[in-house]
Amino acid sequence: MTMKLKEVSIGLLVLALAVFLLIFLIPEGVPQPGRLREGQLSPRFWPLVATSILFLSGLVLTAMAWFEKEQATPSSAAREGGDEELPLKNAILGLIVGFILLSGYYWVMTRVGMVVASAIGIVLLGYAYGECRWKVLVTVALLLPVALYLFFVYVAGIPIPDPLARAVFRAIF
Amino acid sequence: MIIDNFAQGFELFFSWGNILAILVGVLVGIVFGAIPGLTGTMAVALVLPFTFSLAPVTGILLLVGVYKGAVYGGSIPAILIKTPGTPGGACTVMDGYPLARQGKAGKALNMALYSSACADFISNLALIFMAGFIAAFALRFGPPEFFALMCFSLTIIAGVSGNSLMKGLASAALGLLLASVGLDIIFGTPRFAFGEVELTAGINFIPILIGLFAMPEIINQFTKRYRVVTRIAEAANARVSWQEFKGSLRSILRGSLIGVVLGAIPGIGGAPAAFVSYGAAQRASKNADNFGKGELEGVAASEAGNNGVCGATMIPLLSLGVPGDVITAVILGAFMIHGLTPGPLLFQENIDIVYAIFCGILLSSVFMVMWGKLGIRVFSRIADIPNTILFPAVLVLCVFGAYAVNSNPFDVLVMFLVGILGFAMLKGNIPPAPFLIAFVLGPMLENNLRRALQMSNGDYSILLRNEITIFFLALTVLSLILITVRNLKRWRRRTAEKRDDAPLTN
Repeated sequence: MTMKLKEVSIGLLVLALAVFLLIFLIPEGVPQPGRLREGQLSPRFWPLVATSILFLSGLVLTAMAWFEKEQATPSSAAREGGDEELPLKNAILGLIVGFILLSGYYWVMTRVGMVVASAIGIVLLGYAYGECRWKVLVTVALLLPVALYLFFVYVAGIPIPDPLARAVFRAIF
Repeated sequence: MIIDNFAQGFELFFSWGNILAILVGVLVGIVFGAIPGLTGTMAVALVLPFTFSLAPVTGILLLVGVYKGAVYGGSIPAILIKTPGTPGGACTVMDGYPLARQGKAGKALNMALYSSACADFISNLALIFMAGFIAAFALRFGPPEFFALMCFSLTIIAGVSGNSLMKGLASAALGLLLASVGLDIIFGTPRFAFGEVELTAGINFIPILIGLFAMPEIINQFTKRYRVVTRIAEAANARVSWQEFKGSLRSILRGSLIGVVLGAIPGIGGAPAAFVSYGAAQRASKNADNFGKGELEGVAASEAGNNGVCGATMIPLLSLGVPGDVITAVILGAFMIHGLTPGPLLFQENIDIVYAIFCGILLSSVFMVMWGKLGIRVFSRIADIPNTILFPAVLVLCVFGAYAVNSNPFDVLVMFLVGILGFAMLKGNIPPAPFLIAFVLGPMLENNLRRALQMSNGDYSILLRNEITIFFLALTVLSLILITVRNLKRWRRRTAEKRDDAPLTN
């Protein structure tokens, strides 16, 4: 995808979002009290102001990208140093793996518990990122969630949902 | 008179118990502030029960120490892992994290510490010497004045939009829209809730903060292959030279004053002060173009604004008995538990206690530097941990932090979803800072505009009712003119450069 096409797409996406807000999200999502006329006191006033800004910026972005002959600045990804960018195909594959892992993390967290989910999450995420030092990964996976659990539950007094950790630490303390 | 009061206060203050209370308080505050999701309010509320058995001065100083430590502590994860520990630390991310990526984590942490301590100290002096004057000024702020101030604050968006003002505006509009989720402030009707109970309560700031800054980096790492990078020797690079400090001193002083003024106005808080200070520093700096890319002055300005609020929020509390924010509301509770009622009577009946607290507050800035210097040696090593270990660990920290806000997994879900939005913005070169600024300031702007118009039955002339509103609205117009002129100049320069670069054709 050329830079010009990318910028035009961003502008159009912003425009599409603004139109979606105007024709669906605001009318359906922001009920208007019956006795009230449209105006600055209406609950819809502010969302409409924000949507207008979104619409206008989308319009200008599209127009600027459309009439610009070449892109002056490279993308942030190209500017960044450090880690090496993967080829597009591999990057998309990496993103799919990432979304599956993050969704899985959330799913396990809400059903099994935060400590167990976090321990598994660290190992799998670390592996997906390319970490091969298993000893280091497993050590971090065991120590960090447990340390955070102990801190949140016993120091900060915030209950962390994890039946397994609760049973273990109740037995210890 | 004031010297006598100080002498009395010092006599009451000077005990190992009081000194230890501040020492421990600042440390506890830094630890809580450095953990994303654990706010200063939470830390103060947790420590409150421990003060019941302490002497009034000791207990209150413990809480004040926690408060001050937490405000500074928020800058540590903001710089190191792009995850602000507290809302006020959000602005520090913009230059702190790029500095850490350049191998200058220690330098950024040191600058954050020095500017925080300076601003905190100035704020304390303002509390001691100008409490009455500032409280009287702050009390003149009603909805129209707040609205005018917020309008001016929003002009920072232009400064943090990078190369594309339009993308910055789009980002800000998204922030405004997300901030409008929840109950309407005037009618109590739901907005964008679609029948979901969690959405009716509105979206919390912390999951947005974490999702917007930390999550995109974590997701983006899936599109990269890890490469071991030999960083520039940090030890030699970690200190802030006198020249560097001097270069940022004006921004620190300006940020401290902004923090003092905004902190004294009940209900504003550290985050807007940090953004206003950052914007002002950027407008005045010779290195304006480097802001957002790793400018030390940017870190100094945002931390000065954020910490300048600390002492000032105590001004309305001590002089009028009005808490400036949630933390001072908890501290007000501590005063009452110990049989003290903040306000004019406190100055008449318990002047020794007031000045003993002042002595302790001044000392807290010194302890902040002490703990900060000790901590930086340890913290700056975090930047050397390889991303393959650091990012999974940061993710777990973010999940625990987002969950801790309301003990609700919904906040973790919000964090993940905002993370995906943030990743899309990263790929589209859409700056996240305007989104965050609009999310913070948007509700204040809307609520105050609507309240002002309600007061005047829809008459807009209320927005020009006194010199405060006129001053801030005039500043807003002036800023908009300057922004337009600057953008036009930049556009012309870019067009001219392109024309020069174009190949010659016959």
